[in-house]
Order: sequence, then C-alpha cells, then structure tokens
Amino acid sequence: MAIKTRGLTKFYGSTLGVKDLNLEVSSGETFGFLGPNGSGKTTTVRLLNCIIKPTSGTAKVGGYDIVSEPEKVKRITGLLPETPGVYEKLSAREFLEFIGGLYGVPEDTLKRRIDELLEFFEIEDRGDELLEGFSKGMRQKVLLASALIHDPEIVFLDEPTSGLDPFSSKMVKDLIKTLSSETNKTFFICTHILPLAEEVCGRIGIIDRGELKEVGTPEGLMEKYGAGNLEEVFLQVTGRRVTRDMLEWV
Amino acid sequence: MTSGKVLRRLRPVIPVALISGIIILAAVMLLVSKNFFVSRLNNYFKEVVMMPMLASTSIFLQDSVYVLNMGSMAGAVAFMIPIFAAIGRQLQEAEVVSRDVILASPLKARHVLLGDFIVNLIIVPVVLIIASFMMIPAAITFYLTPQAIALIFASIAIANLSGIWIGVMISSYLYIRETTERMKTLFKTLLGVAGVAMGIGFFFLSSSTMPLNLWFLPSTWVGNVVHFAVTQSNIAIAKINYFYIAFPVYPDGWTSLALLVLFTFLVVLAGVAYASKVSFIETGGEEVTVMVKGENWFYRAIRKITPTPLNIMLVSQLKEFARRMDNMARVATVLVFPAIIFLMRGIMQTNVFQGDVGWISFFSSFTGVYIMMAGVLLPIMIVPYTFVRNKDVLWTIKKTPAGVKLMVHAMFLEALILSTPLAVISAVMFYLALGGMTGNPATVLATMLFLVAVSSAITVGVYAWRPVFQERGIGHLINFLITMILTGITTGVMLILSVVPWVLNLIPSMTVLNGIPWLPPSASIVLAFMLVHLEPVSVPVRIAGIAVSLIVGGVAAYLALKKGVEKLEAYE
Repeated sequence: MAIKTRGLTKFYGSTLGVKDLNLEVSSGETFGFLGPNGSGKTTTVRLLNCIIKPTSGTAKVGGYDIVSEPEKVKRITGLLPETPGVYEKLSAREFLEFIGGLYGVPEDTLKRRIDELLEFFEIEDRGDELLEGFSKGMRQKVLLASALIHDPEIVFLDEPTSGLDPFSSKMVKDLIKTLSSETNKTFFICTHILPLAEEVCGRIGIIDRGELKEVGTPEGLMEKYGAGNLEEVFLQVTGRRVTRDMLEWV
Repeated sequence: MTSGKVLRRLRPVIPVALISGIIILAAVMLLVSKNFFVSRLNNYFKEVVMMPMLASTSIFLQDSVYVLNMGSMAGAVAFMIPIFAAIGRQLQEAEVVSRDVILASPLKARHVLLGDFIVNLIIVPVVLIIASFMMIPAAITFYLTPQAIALIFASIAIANLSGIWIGVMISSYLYIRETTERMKTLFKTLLGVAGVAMGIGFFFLSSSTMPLNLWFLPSTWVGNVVHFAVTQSNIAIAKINYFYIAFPVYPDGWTSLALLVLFTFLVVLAGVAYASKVSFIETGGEEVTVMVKGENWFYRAIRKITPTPLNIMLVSQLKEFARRMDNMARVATVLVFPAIIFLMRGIMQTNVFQGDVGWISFFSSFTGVYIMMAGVLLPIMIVPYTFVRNKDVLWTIKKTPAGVKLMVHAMFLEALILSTPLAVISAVMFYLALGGMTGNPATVLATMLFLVAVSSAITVGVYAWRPVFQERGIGHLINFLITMILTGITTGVMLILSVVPWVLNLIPSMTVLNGIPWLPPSASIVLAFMLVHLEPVSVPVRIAGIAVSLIVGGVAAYLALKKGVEKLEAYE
C-alpha cells in the first residue's frame, strides 16, 4: 500500500481543513483527488508530504508514518505544489541541482537527470536562464522536473497542468501514463480538470468541505450516479448547482 | 454580523489604527506632559550637550546658525521621508500587483492620487514629532512664543504636504513606467544612495558652524522660517574662534514662507495635471533575460569548506541574496554611520567642538563600544533580507528532507558571511576616524566577531520563530523590535559579566560624577574620562566574567537556532 490514512484530520485553528479522512492508494496506482476550491485537497497533499502536521489521525506513506518518520516519507515522495515556490534568482539548472542535492542525489546522476528532464520538457535551451524570467507554464515544467529529480516512488501532483498550453498538458498526461505503466510509480493527482482525471486516473476520490465523499473508478462512479461523464458525477456528489435564481440580478 | 467577521473585516485597518494610536498618544504625551518631559530634556541638554557651548557663549550674542541648520534638517526630513516612504511602498506594491485592480476600476485617476495622498497624511504627525525633537536645542537657548511654535510647525507641515505630493507622483510614475526588474533595482539602489547622501548631509549641517548657501532648496526656506520664528530676526549670528559674525538670512523669513507656500501650490497643481496620465500602464519595458554560466570562485569555495547538504542550501541562499542588486545596495547603506564618521574625521578633530581635546578623547574612548555595537546591529539589519521571500518557497523547502533545519543553519552562516566583513570594515573605519581604540584591538575585534555570531543566531531564530515574508512590512517591524530586545538583553548581560569589576568601580565614581556640572567643561570631561578608565586589576574575576559572558552568548545563540528550527518546522 502506497498511501493509507486513518481518521486523518486537520484544523487550522477553528477552520476545518480535512476531517476524518480514510483513504487507501495502492502501489503503482494513479489516483485522482477531485474537489472544489477550498475542499481540502492541498491540505491533504501537505499532510501526506509532512509539510504540516495532522490535528488527529494517522497516515502512512510508502509504509512510513507521516508524524514519526517524516524524513523517510519526504525521501520517497515527490511533490509538484499548487503554487510555484522557487528561488527566482536561480537558473532552472541551479534550482534542479538545489532540489536534487537536498534529496541526496549523487552529483553525476543529478547532472544526467537534469539534462534529460530539461530536454523532455523542452526547456534545455533555457536551462541557464534565471527563473524570474520564466512564464507560469515554464515554471510549472521546472517544478514538475524537480518533483521527479530524485526518482521518487510516490509522486503528488497538485494541479499538474495548471498554466500549461494544450501541447504541454498532453505531454504531462503522457508522462504520467508512461511512468505509471513502466516504472510502477504511484501518482496522487489533485485536479479540477475532470477530463485529465478521467483520462489518466485508475481511481478517483471526491472531497468536499474537508470530507471524502466518494471513492471509486470513474466508470463505477458514473454508473452509480447514472451520469454520462465525470463532471456530472462531480456536481451530484458535491451538490453544486448553478441556477438562474442565483443570478437574478444579472 | 458576528464579532469574528467584524474583526476579519477590520484586520487590514488594525495595524494602521495601532500605529496612528501610538503616534497620537506620543504626541498627546509630548504636549500634555510638557512640564515633566520637556523639563527633563531641558536638564539633559543643558547639562550634557549645551553646557559647554553655553559656558563659552556671551550673554548678549547668541549663536543662531545651528537654529538655521536644525530648521533646514527638519525641512529636509519633512520633504524626504514621505518621498522615500511612497517609493518604497510602491516598489513593494508592484511586486504584489495590487495596483492593477485599482487602475482597472472606474475610479478617476485624480481620485487614486488623492487616495494615496490621504493615506500618506499619517506621516505628518510623525514628521512633526521628529521636528519637535530637532527643535529642542533652539527651544532651550531661545524663548519660544506660541506664535513662533505655530510658525515652525506650519512651515514643516507645508513642506511635508508638498513632499507627500511629490512622493505620490513619483511612486505613480514608477508604477506606470517601471516594468522591468532592472528599473526596480535601479530605484531601490537610488533610494539607498539618497539615504546615504541625506545622512551625510545631516552630519554636515549639524556639525557646521556656518549655513550652506543653498537658497534655492525648499529645506533652506524651512530653515529660514524656523530661524525667523525662533530669533524674531532675519540676521543670523555665527561664532567662529571666539569672534561673532552677523549676516543676513537669505531669503528672509516671510519670503521663505511665501516661497514654500507657492512651491507646495505648484506641486499640487502639477499633481492634478499629471493625474490624467496615471490611468494607463505602459508595457513598453523589455524584460532582460539573465543567463548564468557556472559558478565563481566564491561559491565554489563555500561548497568545498561546508559540509553537504548544508553547502547546497547555503550557496543557493547566497545566490538568491547576492543576485538582487537592491540587497547589495542595502549592504552598502548599513555602512552609512561608520562612513559618515570616517568622512567627517577631519571636521570632528578640528571644528565640531572648537578643537576641544577632551571631546576627541571622549569619542575615542568609546571606539571599542561603537565597534561592538556594529557587530550586534549589522546582522539585525541584514538577516531580514536573507529570509525566503514568500510562503511557497518555504513549502518547497519544507518538502525536502531536513530542509527547514538546513535552511535555518544556512541562514545563520549566510548572516555570518555577510556581516563579518561589514563589521570588520566598520571597525577599521571607526578606528581610523577616531584615531585610536580603547583596549587591545585584537580583543575588541574578537569580541565583535563573537557578537556578530550571537546577534546573527538570535535574528535568524526570531525570523524562523515568526516568519515574515516580503510583503508584510509591519511584521518586519515587530521582528526588528523583538530582535532588538533579545539581543539587547543578551549582549547587555554579556557586557556586564565581562566588565563586572569595571561596573563596580563606577558605583563610587557616580557620586563624584554628580559634581561634574559644577566644574568647567573641559575639566569635567577629563575627569569623567579618567573615572571610567579606572579598570580593576583582579585578573581571575575578569577571566571568570569573560568566560561566563561567552557561555551566555553561546547558549543564547544555540537556543535561538534550536527554537527557531522547531517553530519553523511547525509553521503552517
């Protein structure tokens, strides 16, 4: 089991982040985590990456406890955060060297991987350019590369295609599919983009207001809710409706 | 509406309200407790600062040049503070891109400028309070009527209003034009240089026995109005080498006031005319792509001498700091005070106190203290700029194994690397400027370096305990105050412990020192100088004191870093 949570709960003061989350993700699985804005997706990802500590409950990632063994968890996981946090005065290559170095990747391996990743994301000619001059999409590519630089077993991607053009989005989807099928890596993907989830995820979970509402395969959920696509499932599960009455003032 | 909602809505207003409250309270205290407060300040100035000057001044002729100079300084403060504040805030705002929302709204451009102007009015009471302190020597020497006080405050307030308008216009211009990082850096650097120039100018003005003939500057007009209000005359008197020289103040008081009002009127008119241009943003600036190839010898050396993975974090942090030109400008500006002392050494030794040898010795006797103070203060001024600039970077660091611990330790080393050479340069400048040093120079230098380490650790610990990111100005101020208190207590205890016998010697000396005001100025200074140098001979006590002092500093530094790591690990 790659990820296993039991009653995982997080409060920020009196504000609920995640409540009583019970979730299991198998090794090699690509799991989609869907939910509206502020539903608790990013909180869950931060908890599972030991960036924040739970208020109560437990979780194991790659068999390691997130509270008592955070260092081990961090070593086997990679994270693409929702908002890009980079040292703007480092070049793309320097940033990747920095992250790889902190994960203890040997120097020779690191240099080779950086070259390969920069080439894969088609930014090899801008590798020595400071990140401050990069567009949002370019930064996203560098951060994706940094999430993979230490060859993690479990990869958390928070909105992986955010800010990317259609071609780059397709590239990321193909990357996830390839790595998932050929390397047995586990992917935990948070997204709003339902077609992405439908295309690459074997199972999905839907979270709303901090609580996990549904878990299942896309097909199984569509069947359960009698829906034609994942969007309809999502709207039924989260209970969101846009009605004319709400926009009466327009 | 619940109280929680009300509080949340009020949250942006709370810091402004708090600061305004403090300023108003200070102003009220200053005015209401005039008798209590001013009488003590009077005593202080009469006995410590003015006494030597008054003792040598004739009853009939009063040296009034310093009134002119103090008035000009108050005028310069009134003009420059709002300009600096507005530009600084604009540069910060440009990074969080909040102005776009305002410019996209249907608000008219002149309303935007007017809004900025009103917000900046909070500076007026601050400037008036600063100016009040600058006027104290004049108030002691001359009898100030209520009309004179009103005229002084009015001229400073008028200067302040035009300064605010100019600041608002410059900052708006910056937002329209400034589209590249290079432009931003250029303006930040210019701000630093202007600050240095102002500091040096103040020192010239405060130490000069003659006014500078800068009749065309608004700050000079303020000085002339202040001189007229204080002396009721347009004739200034300077005392040079026991001779009194009278000369006319140009332009005279009333003309200066008229020029000041006219200038402010023209500035406001220019602002209104300019307002129409604020409603659009030019996007012409071309971003300059910066490429980096390889590492220079400095980073390579750092990588080699520090252990892995600490070196990885340290080098990245140093690059992030050093590649920002505004940071380098800040580093340069922290040397302002020793630079001024160094540049003015000639004047200090010949002119300031009419060649009173006692004062020169007095200054020299404190060289060691200045050097140690520089060691404490430099890291406090530098560390805030070495901290990660936003939360997202912190999350990136927190995700990596042991990232937070490495970051805090790297920040400490970075503070040492940046502060140590600056502290040494300051020490050399103080040493050369004041022409000597109390105690063994090697001991003073070693103590200073130890204080750099203690102060660096405490400042880094405070920032790790209370992370403040780039956009939160008030948070930096609170951290600065906390750091000052903690380093003040720590280094104070350290100094007391290391000079215990010296402190004990001072206690009997105090009764003798109380008699100083009755003695002639030079004799009193020499006596004080002799008394504070009656050092003890008890070597074991002194060694024990120094050892305990070092332990206190070491423990404080260790605890600050340890607690800092723990707090930052838990930060959410």
